[in-house]
Amino acid sequence: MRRGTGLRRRSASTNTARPATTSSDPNVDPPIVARLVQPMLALRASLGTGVSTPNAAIVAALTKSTTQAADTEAPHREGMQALESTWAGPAADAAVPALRTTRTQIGDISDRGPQYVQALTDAQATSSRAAQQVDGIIYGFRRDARTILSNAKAAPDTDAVITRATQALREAITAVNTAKTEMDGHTQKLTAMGPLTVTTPVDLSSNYSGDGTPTYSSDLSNSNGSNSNGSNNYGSNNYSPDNNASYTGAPNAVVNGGNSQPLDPATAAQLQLQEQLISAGVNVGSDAISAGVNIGSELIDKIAEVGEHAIDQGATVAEQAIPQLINPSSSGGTAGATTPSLFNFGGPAAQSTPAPQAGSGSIIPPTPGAAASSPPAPTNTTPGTSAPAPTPDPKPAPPPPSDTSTPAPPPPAAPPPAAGLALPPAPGTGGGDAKRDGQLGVTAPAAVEEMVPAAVIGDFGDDSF
Amino acid sequence: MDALKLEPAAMAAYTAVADTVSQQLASAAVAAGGAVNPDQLAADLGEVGAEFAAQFTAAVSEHVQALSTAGQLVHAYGQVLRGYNTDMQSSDAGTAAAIAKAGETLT
Repeated sequence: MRRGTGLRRRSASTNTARPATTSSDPNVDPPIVARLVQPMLALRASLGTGVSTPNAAIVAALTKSTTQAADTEAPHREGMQALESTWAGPAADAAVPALRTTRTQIGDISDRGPQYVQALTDAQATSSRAAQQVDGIIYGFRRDARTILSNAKAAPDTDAVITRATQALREAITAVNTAKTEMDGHTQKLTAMGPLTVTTPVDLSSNYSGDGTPTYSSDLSNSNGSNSNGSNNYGSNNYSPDNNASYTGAPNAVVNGGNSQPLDPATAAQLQLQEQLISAGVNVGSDAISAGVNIGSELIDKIAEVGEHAIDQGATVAEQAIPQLINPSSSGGTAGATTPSLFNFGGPAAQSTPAPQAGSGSIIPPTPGAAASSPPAPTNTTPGTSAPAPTPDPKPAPPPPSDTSTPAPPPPAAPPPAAGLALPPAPGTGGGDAKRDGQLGVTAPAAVEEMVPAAVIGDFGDDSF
Repeated sequence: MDALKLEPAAMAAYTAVADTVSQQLASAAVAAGGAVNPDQLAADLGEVGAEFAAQFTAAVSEHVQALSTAGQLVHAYGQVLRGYNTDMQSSDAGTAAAIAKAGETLT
């Protein structure tokens, strides 16, 4: 066996070496696993460090600031009360409301600190939760892929790894998308707080200087020179415009600076998966699998499926990047090959699809990974693929179940009880159509008839009745 | 016209409070500035949290500015009222002196 040479193991440090598809070293991913795990790692990276609590320095800064601002409340209030009760006249009428407004606004500002901390805490929790999920998904994929590869005897095992990777990636994308939705909620909470306002006391300034008598303003400038800290014009004209400028200017700048966003991580991961699948297929095909193995079509099916997933999410980038990969399968040039495989993607039957063509049907069924991935597959795939599937199918077959009849015959090789559940309806209709469909007879002549009886009996009974 | 009433001691007390409050607010603004750390947020929340991080940074920056502005306002209040207080008293004293002078002239 040529494996012998390929299996030569290197030291664990040479991580990027290619020991072959299987590696018993638990610290080194087999090449195909290392490639397929990349988009998952990218997704994981998009979630940040995964720390569950907000950065301590940020929290401390906000807390300290809030405490200091809140501490001004009591003395400020008392000072103002004393002032209000002893000061009367036009100047007081103009000034006191402004002082009051400012004091209230200071209270509002200091109330914000805890709200910011809470929002950040929530965001961090979301990020952390998703990071843990994705970590678990990656761990599970590596473990399962290793198991699959350790039993590897032929090409289908590689297919199983890819199937498992697709499942894992889909789960990871779901986790990240959920996190994104949650994160949007946290962002909205921040937005909903609205801008902080610090009203410049226009009333105070205009009334104070405008209503004042000439003697008063002149005196003001004199007294100012002696009293103030060097600012000659402490009048409203000076400080209010400055405050406004700095107040409104800064946040905008920050917002603009932070808003530039790169490609959506989920979309990027999907694109990356397609690349990884292709390169993995090439690598595996040339390395460990004998020529002619139909892993290529299997890959395209996977890519098409992933592509559809991306399109579902409106990822136009993916749409443009892979139309050619999608089209062959969706248009269904060869109905027999593409349709069933798409339809059953992820399930046990899917593995049987390429079987009839390659003639390796007998080897494929024992794929454990496929069986494991069957649960999630139907939910995701069925809606998207059910539409194109019937179209290319030349058969008139009005009931959709008849489609399953095509892959159904091959599953004879699939003895697991799970497959048996799917079979019953299939052979029934298949049996009826098979008489008209020459293809079926050609594909699995003996097998169909041998396997059908058990499941068919019931259906035939129904039909005859 | 409303009655004019002014208690210099209370006014002086308020201006002193205003000085303290404005200093504290300025300090609070500086402290809050420590929470503006986009790099840290980017590391912790990643790409998925980038928008939140931007919004958070903007909000906290605004917070800092608001504290700073409020501090400057209160400081200005204190200065204005201190000037007003001094001015009113000197005006009052000047008026008293002028009246006294007029009285002397008349006599």
